[in-house]
Amino acid sequence: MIPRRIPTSLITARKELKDFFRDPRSIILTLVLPVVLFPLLFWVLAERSPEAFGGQRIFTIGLSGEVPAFLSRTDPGYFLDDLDYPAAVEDQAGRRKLLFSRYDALVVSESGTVHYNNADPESLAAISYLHEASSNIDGREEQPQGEPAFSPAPLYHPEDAAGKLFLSLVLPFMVFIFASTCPLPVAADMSAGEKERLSLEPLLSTAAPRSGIITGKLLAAALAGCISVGAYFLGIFLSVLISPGILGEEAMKFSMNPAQYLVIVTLMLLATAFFAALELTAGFMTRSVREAQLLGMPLLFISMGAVYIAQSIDLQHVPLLIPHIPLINLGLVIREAALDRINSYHTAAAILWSLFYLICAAFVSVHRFKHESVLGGR
Amino acid sequence: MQKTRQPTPPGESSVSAEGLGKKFPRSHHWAVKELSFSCYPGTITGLLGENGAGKTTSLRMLSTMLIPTEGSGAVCGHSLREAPARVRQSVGVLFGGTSSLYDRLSAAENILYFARLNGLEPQEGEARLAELSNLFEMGSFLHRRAGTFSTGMRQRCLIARAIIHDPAVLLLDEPATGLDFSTRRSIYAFILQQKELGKTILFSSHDLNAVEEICDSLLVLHEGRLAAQGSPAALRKKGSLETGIRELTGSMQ
Repeated sequence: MIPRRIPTSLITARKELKDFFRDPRSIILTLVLPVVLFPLLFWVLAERSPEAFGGQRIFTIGLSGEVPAFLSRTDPGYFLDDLDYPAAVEDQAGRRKLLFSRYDALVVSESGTVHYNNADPESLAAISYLHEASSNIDGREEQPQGEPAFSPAPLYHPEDAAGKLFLSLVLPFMVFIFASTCPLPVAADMSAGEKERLSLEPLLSTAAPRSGIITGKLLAAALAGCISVGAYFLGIFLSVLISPGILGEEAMKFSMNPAQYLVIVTLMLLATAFFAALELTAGFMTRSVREAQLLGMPLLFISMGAVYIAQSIDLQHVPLLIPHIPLINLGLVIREAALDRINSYHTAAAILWSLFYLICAAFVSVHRFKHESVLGGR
Repeated sequence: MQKTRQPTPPGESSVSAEGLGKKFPRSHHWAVKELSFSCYPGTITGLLGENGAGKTTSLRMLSTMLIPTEGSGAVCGHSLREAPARVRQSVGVLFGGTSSLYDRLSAAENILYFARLNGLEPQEGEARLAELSNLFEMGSFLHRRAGTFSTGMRQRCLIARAIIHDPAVLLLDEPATGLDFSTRRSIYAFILQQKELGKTILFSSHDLNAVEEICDSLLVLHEGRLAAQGSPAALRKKGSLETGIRELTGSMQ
């Protein structure tokens, strides 16, 4: 039976995709909504924004509210020798390091070069604080009006920083939201939908191996999910092209190299396939599409929690365990990739673990599908 | 018609059950208990009983969708437990008014999908589809989406889908339920035609007149157990099959 498994999977995947994409509701949900409605919505919002009327400027990040919180949890007098900004380490003369936000803003010398991460909110808060309170650093006298107390040295090119910051904050959330929700309609339709339509029994009575059928369904759910995720990103891209000011023009200025794209797309596809497998399994445990969708929704909240944790991790001090925790490792690596701080070890660990989770999820799905209880009650 | 696959040697039963039983998890009673019978090629066996008597569970076990809790069974010499894939190659299963088509696919796409899943090559499937399309007069709606079909068209499509791989054994669960008189007649005519071709047919029904008319033997189930077995003539009491079955099942309570 083994040689027939691949054809059965492909036959099933082809049929499932044909069946799913012939449904106008599926087309609207997976393609029309992201590609047409997203840009339309952004355009309307841009047209109605205060900026469009020549009024206020839209800020993407407000620092003023963060400074008090930042100050309450950092020690402005804390010194540290362990640096990882090469430019800062090379400057040996009179080096004094005043640490803000862990390693992200530091004073290298009294005369004052301050290195800071201009794509990190805490680091930006630190530099803002330094601007406000530079007269108090090391007992220095207040500088005459207009003379800065230090020379700020940003980590990223200033034109790129806001975009990178925006991307590192938003991209992990977007990837997880789309990866967890896009395969859900198709996975629910292929599993619980089969039961609802009463077409599962005839399907199981064919001579085709069940592992082949479920593999085909997995393939189709993952593919349809990836198509839908791609459509959402295309929709956002079009939205930004049509209404570049809606998210703040500075936030949209960033450049990414092929390695960044490769890491982000690979992890996004793996996450989508993983969620598709879980949602398909959940679908076979329910009796209706609505139940399957309800059961699949907690995955979104779980993944959001994972992204929040990933966002709170200091990228220069990533705990050893983090690259091995499901979902959190994906959020972390996507964030690193968005900031162009790809760590090969973190990336390799996240990809390998994601493949492992995907295989486990597929295995559970096959096991569930082979069990006679997949038929449910009549 | 194409040659029947997995033929059963003459004189040997093509469907057999020996003490077959099924108890579902977390259930206190047996859905089917100690079911033993044999069916032979070129015969029609009727499976009778009230709702919940165990007819569908028996057919599900014979089509390997459910694993028997006890006992054994075989289809065309293949054990239900040891060679379920081979059993499925030998049976065509129809779940009457309850099973459904893929509404967004055409009749041809529905049938050809099952042809491929049952191991037919694309050309074989196309040839067989043409044959069945003629047999069931499906030419006018073969390429229409199934969602637009009437009940009769749907039923013809379901039967064609069930027998696309030309199985030696047909397991039909209430195939004529909910159909009008003429469609019912055409289904019974089809069953008789399959008998002439040497197929083994096991079907459940509540239509006692039809059962009496076309069946060679009957299995009467009551609360999961085999209450009686024999020809329609042997089970008839006071001139009526219904009276005979009532007396048999009543005596078991």
